[in-house]
Amino acid sequence: MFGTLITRISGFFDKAFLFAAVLPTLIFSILIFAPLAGIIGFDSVALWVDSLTGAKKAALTVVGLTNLIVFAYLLNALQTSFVRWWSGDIKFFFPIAWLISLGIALQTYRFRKLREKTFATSSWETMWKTFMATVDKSWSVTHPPANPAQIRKLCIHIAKLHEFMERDKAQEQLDVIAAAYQKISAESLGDRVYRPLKLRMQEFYENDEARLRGILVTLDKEFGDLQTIYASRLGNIVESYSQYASKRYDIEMGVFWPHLRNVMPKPFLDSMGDQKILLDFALTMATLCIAYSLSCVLFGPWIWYRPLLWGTLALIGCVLARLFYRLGITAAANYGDFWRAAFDLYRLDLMKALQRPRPASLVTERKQWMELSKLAIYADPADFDLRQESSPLSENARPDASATNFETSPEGKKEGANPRPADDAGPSPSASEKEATDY
Amino acid sequence: MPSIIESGHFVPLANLNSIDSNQRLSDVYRQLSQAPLTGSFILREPGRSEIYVKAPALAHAISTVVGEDFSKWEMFCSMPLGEVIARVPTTGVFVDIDNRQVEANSEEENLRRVPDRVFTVAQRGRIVGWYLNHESALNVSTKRTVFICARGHRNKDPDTGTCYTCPAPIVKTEQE
Repeated sequence: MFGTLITRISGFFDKAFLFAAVLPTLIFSILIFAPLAGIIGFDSVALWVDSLTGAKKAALTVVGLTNLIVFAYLLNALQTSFVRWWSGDIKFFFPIAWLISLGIALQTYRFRKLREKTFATSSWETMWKTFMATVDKSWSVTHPPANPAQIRKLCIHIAKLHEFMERDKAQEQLDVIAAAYQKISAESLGDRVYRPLKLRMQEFYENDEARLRGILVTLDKEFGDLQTIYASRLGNIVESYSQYASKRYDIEMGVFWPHLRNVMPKPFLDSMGDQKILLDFALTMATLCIAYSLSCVLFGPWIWYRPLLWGTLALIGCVLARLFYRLGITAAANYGDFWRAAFDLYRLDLMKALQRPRPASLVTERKQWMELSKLAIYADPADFDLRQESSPLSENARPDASATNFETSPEGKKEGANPRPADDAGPSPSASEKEATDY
Repeated sequence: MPSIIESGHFVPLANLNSIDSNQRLSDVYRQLSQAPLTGSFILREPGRSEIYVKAPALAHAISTVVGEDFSKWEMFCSMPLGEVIARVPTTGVFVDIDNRQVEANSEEENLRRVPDRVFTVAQRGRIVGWYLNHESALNVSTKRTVFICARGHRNKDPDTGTCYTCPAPIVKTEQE
C-alpha cells in the first residue's frame, strides 16, 4: 500500500504530468481568476484574503489544491481526446459536422494541389536544350567578333533572367541572345556569354528540381493518403507518420508500436517523450483557450455586463488557441520525425526480439513484417522457424542443412568458413552479413 | 635513407581528395579541378576498402565506352561515380591501397619493393597522408584531366556532357 502511494506521488512529479496537465491548469486558473479579481477589485480581494482566519486560509488552500489536482488529472486523461479533436477526428459530433466537412474539403484540396505539383517538371532544361540547338545551328566563326558594347548588352539580357519569371519572358531573353550568334563570331561569346548563361540556366534548373523534391517531402510528411484525409493539418501530420512504418516496411504500426518501444533505448525514448509532452501541452492549452473564449462569451456578461471586455478576452483566447495549435503542429511534426526514426533505427532490433532472422534485403524484410502482421492481426497460422544460429538444433548444425535452407559460397568452402544462410532463411547472421545488408 | 614523409612519394592527407562513390561524375572532376592534386583521388565506398583512382585513366576509360555515341557522356555525367565505375573497363585505373598502415619514420626501401601500391602513412597513431610507392601512381597525381568538345574547347570537367563554351558534346579526354 505504501509502495502504491509512493508510486502515485512520484507519478504526480512526473514531468509529463507536470508540464502537460498541471501547468495548463495553473495558466487556465490564472486566466479565469485574474479578470474576476479585476472586476471585483484587486484591493478588495486582497482585503478579503487578509480578513480570513488562518484555518480558513488553510482550508481554502487545500480546496484549491485539490481542485487543481483533480482538474489536472482530468486534463491528463483527456489528452488523447485533445489530439483527436484537434486532428478533426470527431466526425460524429453533430454541431460541428459542417466545420469538419469544410476542413476535410480544404485539406483534400491542399493534398490534390500538392500531388499535382509533384508531377511538374522544370522547363528550364527544355528551354536550355532548345537554345543550345539554335546556337549550334547558327554557330559561326566567320562573323566579326563581339565588341564590348555587344557583350555588355547580352550580359544585361542574361541578368534579366530570374528563376521565377514567366517562361515566355525568359524565352524572349534567350531568343535575343540566340539571335546574336547569327551576327557575331560564336568564339568571341563563349566565355563571356555562353558559359555564364549556361551556369545560370543550370542553377535555375537545379533550384526547380530541389523545390519539386521539397514538395514530395512535404506531401509525404504532411499527409497519409487521399482516403485518410483529416479535417486539420495536425490530423494529417499525425496520419502521415502513423502510416510511415506501413508504407516503408509493411509494419502494422498500431500492432507493433508497443513492441518497438520495448527495444528502443531510454535516451531515444526520453527525447521522443519530450516532443510528446510538448504536443500534449500545446493541445491542452489550445483546448483550454477555446474553453476560456467560450466561457467569456457565454458566462462573462452574466457576471458583469461589459460586452467589449468579454469580447476582447474571448478574442485573446482564440488568438492564444491558434498560437498553441501552431505550436502543436510543430511539436507533432518533430514527434513524427522521432517516430519515423524509431522505425528506421530499431525495427531490426524488434525483429530480432521477435526471434525472426535478420533479413538480407528490404524485400525480404517487408515479407517478414507482412507475415508477422498477419499473425498479429488475423491470427494467420503460417509457421515460423524460430531456431537460432547458435542453438544446437539450428539448421546450420543439421547434417542436411546445406541441402535445404542454406547456400554455401565458394569463398566459404575455400576458407573453410561456416555455410552462410540464404536470403530469407536461417537465423541471425554474422557481423559481416549485417554490413552486407543492402539498404 | 629518408623517412617516408620526407620522400617525394609522400602525399599529405589534405592534398589528395577523398571522394564518395555516390558523388556524380561531373562533380568529381569539378572538385578535382580545384584540388592540389588534380590527377587522382581516393574512392570511398561504404562496406568496401578505399581505393586509389587515377582520374585521367578513368576519364579515358569512360571515353572508350562512349565511343562515337557522345550522348552517353550526358548519362555518365549524371551517374554516381560508383555506378560509372561498374560500367567501364577499369584496367589501369585503380591502384590498391595496402591494408597495413606504415609509420611515418619507416624507410621507403621496403615499400618500393612491392608492386604498384598506395600505403596509408600514420604518425603517432594519426593518419597523415599517403605513400605512392611507384612513379606510375605518383606521376598521374599531378596531371589534370581535360575534356575536349567537338569544337576543340578544353573543359575542366564534363559538366552535362557538353562544353562550357559551346553546345558541342564532349568527344575526348586528355591529360595535361
